[in-house]
Amino acid sequence: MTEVIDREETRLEAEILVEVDELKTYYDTGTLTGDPVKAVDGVSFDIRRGETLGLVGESGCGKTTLGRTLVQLESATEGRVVYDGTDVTELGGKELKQWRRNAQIVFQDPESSLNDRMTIGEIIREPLDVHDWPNLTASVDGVSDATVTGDANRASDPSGRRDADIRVTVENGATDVDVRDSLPLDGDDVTVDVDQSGTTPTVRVDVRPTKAQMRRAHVRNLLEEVGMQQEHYFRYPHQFSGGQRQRIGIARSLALEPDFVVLDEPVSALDVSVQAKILNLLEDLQEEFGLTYLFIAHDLAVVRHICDRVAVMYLGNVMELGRTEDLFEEPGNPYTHSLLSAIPEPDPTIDKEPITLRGAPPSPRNPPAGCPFSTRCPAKIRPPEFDHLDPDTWEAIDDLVRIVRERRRAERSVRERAREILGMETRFSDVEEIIVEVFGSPESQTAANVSAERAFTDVLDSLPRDMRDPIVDVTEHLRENDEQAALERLLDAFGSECDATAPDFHEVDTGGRVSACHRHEPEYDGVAETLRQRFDDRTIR
Amino acid sequence: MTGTQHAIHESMRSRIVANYRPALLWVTVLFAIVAFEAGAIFNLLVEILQGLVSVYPFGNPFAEQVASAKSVSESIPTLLSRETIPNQGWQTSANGPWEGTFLGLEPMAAWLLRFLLTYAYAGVIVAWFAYGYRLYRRHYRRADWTPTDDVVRRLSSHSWGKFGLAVVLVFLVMALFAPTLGPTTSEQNIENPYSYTMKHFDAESGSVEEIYVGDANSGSESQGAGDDNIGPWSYDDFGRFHPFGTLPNGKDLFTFMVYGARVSLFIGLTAMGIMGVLATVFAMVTAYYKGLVDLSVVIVGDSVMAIPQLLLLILVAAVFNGHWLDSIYNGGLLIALVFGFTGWPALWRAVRGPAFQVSTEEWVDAARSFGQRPSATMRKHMLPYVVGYLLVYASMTLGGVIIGTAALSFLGIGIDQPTPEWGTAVARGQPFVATQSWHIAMIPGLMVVAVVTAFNALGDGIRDAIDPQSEGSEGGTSTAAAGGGGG
Amino acid sequence: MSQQRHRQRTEAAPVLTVENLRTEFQTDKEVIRAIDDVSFDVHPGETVGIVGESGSGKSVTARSIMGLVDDPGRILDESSIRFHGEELVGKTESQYRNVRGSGMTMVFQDPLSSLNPVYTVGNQIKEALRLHQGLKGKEATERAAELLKAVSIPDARRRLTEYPHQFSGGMRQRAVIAMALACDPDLLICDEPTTALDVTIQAQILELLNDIQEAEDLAIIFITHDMGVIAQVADRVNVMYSGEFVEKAPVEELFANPRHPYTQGLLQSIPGRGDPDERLRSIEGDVPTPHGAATYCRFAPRCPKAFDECESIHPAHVDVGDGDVVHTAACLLYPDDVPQEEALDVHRERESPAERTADGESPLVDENTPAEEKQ
Repeated sequence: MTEVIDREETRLEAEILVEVDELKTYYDTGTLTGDPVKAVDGVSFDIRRGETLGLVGESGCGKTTLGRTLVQLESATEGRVVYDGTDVTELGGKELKQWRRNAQIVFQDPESSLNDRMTIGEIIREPLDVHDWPNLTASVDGVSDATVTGDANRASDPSGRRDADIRVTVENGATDVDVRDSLPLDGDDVTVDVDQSGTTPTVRVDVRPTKAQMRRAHVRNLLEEVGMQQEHYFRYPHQFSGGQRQRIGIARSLALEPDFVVLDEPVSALDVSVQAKILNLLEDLQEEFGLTYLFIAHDLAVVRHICDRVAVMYLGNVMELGRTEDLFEEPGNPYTHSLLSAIPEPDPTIDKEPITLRGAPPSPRNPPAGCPFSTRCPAKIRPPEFDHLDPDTWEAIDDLVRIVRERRRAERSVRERAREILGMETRFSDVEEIIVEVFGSPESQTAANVSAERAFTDVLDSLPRDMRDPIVDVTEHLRENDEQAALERLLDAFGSECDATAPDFHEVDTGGRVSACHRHEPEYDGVAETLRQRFDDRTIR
Repeated sequence: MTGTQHAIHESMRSRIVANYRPALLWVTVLFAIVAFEAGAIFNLLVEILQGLVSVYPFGNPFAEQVASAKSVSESIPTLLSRETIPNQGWQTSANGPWEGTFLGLEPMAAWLLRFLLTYAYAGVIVAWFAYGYRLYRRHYRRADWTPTDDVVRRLSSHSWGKFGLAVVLVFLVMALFAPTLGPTTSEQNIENPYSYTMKHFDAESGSVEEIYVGDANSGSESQGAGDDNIGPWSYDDFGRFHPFGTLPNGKDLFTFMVYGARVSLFIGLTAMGIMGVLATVFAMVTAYYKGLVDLSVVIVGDSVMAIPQLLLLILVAAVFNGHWLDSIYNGGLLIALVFGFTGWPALWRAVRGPAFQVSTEEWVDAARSFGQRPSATMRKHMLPYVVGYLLVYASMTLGGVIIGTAALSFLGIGIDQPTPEWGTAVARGQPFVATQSWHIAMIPGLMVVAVVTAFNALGDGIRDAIDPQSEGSEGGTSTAAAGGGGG
Repeated sequence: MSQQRHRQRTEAAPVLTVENLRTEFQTDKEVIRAIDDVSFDVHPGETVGIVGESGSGKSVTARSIMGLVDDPGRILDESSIRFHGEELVGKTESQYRNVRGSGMTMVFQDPLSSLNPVYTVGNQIKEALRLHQGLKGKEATERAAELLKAVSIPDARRRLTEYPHQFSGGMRQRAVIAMALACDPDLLICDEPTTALDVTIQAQILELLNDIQEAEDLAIIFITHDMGVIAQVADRVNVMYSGEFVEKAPVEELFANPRHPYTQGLLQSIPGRGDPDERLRSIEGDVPTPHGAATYCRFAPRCPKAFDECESIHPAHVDVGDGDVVHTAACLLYPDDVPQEEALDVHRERESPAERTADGESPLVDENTPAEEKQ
């Protein structure tokens, strides 16, 4: 156990490899296409060398887009991605292609990430062919200012992190050649000729195998690394199962020996027993090659197992970021609470009442002003004048807000507009029924011989006095088809800080975990406390 | 297991050397085939060379060499040719023996013999190709299985497709071997009948006379009833055999058809080539880049489609009259160009769908992620999936082009006289359809129908072969067994 | 609390009884036995779970019960599916349609493809109402709105006039459930209904199904590959592997005492069950496609506890539960309280035709008989 902690500690204190700064990736930003889809809406975090950072969230939260932007498969609209000191969003053309060797991506769907018409050997080899691998570098010790010619170029890595492929040591007239382990090359295959006559000494390095041979050997090594056999080189993808195809995808991503790999839901499409094998493989590879992972997933159990730190995303924003165990044991953000509570435990004796979120995430074209989670947050701050209302009434108010938002988004067809103008009934004109439906008790709704107006006034009367004015105003606005005004009135009466401004990140524990929620500010009750209050008080339906 | 064995031999050459006997057999047969038609092949090569040299704009520096090459190639014998098995002869006396035909057979028999031999030869070539492919698969190919194997297997069990393929091959042979197949040649009979003479037994004078072919034609016209008609499969008064009868101007219909097939094929293939290249390039580019590129091509394509083809053809024919472009095949090239450049939008739209579908596959993204060049991505990762659909639509469009050409000739604005074209025959025979000379319009008409149907059938076959979900295929049943997906 | 619930329900007569179900698919090369002798029953108000990986045959089971198995698949004659006592195997398509509408319905995995994109949601619900309950016009619209409200879709009346693409994923699945409820069914078969949904939406749907079940005393067959979901929703669980049920038990019993090596392997490979820092245990190999007759244990090639006889004797279900818990497993390792030879004999006998009783029924373990009553 201590060994584990030490490893984690070293990882967490390691230097930063990828720094993401206020990254925004929007789609459909053209003026002709309406509101852009704000897939990633201002995200900042760091990834440290050697760690596995998990990125979780539900569909539509932008995690896949974020992962793809990090490897420059999507262009960032704003913000920076700094990889080892270089701002990758600024790169283009040849520089970008060069940089691509450092960061690779493994895709989610094993069926569609491999070209069925190519043998898997060809698939894994393709990146090598594109970059004319290997571009051998040689470093020379013992001869100052030597020029390197032949099959290798002089190693020029200022940071000193990457070893040269071939190390030539000249000592007392004898030349010693040392080849990097992971290359498919032996010391015997390399001949070195040192020529110290003339003004500049030259070191000529000749390598016996051809590049094609080296590439083939490298692919075969990779196949073995990921648990396949060398004979599989000539087979086609459809001859393999999902798990094996995913292994091939992983092998392809490692072909160029990257330092950073984005894993885009690598095990989501696989069965449970196969998942386990692939996760074990990923961990082994990370150990062996010193890789840094960004692990994107929606399955929290998997993330808990493999990630050092986790970032929780919702609607293009990071809501919480911190060490995995701490985050799972004691979540800070209300969204993290909801997410964890919704995971079905594989243990039937636990009889938990999950915090079931109502409604669906808002559209990324129209994110709410203020906190993105404000439309569904179970711990949302309530205005003090209405804080005393019972949970059912609050649920009804939330439902009404949701309905109004939906109506605002819903399109009116030409026919409906015509009917409205003519004063005829359309599907939008049953405003009173909505209020009755939302606020009424079940009995009042099924009473058949009560007219709509009567039911409406009954329901209004049943509400607390200070609620009636806002509800009446809202009903008026809706009748006039002004959903925007209705929404504003509702938020004015029942809204709070959460609807108005976006929350800042606050530190929620000693381990450096941050969470974005207004409740972390000192003047409000804590998140866990609020949830306990609100959800234990309810009668379980 | 053969798979692992072959892994040892990494290059094709070493594999062939290791197992040389089947390859040797196949190459021997190749020599035999070439030898059979050696003369014709060399002739063709020299003619192409001549054609290229004549188009060379800066004079004719190789004239001598080309001329000598031509004489050499002409001296090489061709086993299967009209010289070896002649069918044009004459009787030495009324009901007497035939002279000048192969082995003294009557012209019909000689022609039939040559006709059947030609098709047999073509059959041997096709069989030889198929055999070669099987040999390659069994002995020399590195992989145990490729995706093409499934396609081939499905195609070989598709009856309608095989029928189509068969008729298309018949048509191709007809076009390629036209000089050998016809009872006479286009040059002799159709284009310059007054430059050639022939011998025949004149019943009136009781002796062998020599007349111009053109005169013989005048005496063999099919213009309606009774004597004035040489119907299919009959002799005319000059001892010539006409498998399809004659035209109203007395020229042989069968020869007209087989040379017309050449013209149709040339126009069809050229038009298809242009359309295919343009459609493929645009499909790849629009599917890869999407957005503005796609929008522009859509606008251009729609604009092109809005141009009325017929009017454009008439316009082009008028404008280019006398231009050297017009001289190739008597306007055939022009027609092909017009079809090609106005027909590509339709083909492009047909393959745009599959191209877009392929572009959304993750392996295309993967290629981008390691920095693959767009052209390589399009070629390796997108094109193979689009080619199948392209073939399907191309084969059907080819049928359309053939009909189009025939229609143009029917209307009289297509190929200039006297180049044979099926539509022209239909036009000429139109007044006689209800008479005894029905064959003039009906036979070419039926041929057009047959060929176009065959191309469509071939397209059907290819489409079913490339589609993994087609009836009775393995893909379908295993999905079923898995419980309709996700069992 | 769930234990109590479970016991009460078992007293009532089963809604559905499946016995010796065999479904096979004929391809030109071979016969695939997608379901090979499966038996279970479902009582009103309870949820029976079928859990297995892809390729195990669970979807085919659902379709076989619903009569949706098409050429080249067919249900063999010796199978029996009895719904409220009425035999379903052998019915014609139109007869089956009656049953499907009025008694049992199915919810599929992908709501986007279960709903027709060119018709409004209201239209589709009303179609179901018209077919099975004869409602038309305003009545049908009222009832359709009620159904949408019952599945917690707010602003129901407006939603009726919208198209499926205007609904979010979770709402679509609710609409599909509403359509399923339109015919007042007694049995609801859910084939991976939440697999395509996010986890918070999944929680909503599972809560909804639970509420509906309690309100209507609905029997549910829930098919999934997710052990977590099964733990939450099922009362009894059948573990399926390669066309056969390998273990059947009440849900707590299954998770607490998994007997069959496959179940044990499945539970061990769930991340989160074990120590997070240990490597995940996994099962070697892949799920096979069942072509041959089952004369051996299909899991043997991957089983860590396999021995020689596993290749030659087909395991039958034997009782492995303590006390009156009805827990059976089809594994040659059990019964483990007698010497191995005796145990193997038990399996051999169970499979031999001579052991069938006079009226042609094989002495399978009757799920409702507590353990003491058997010899």
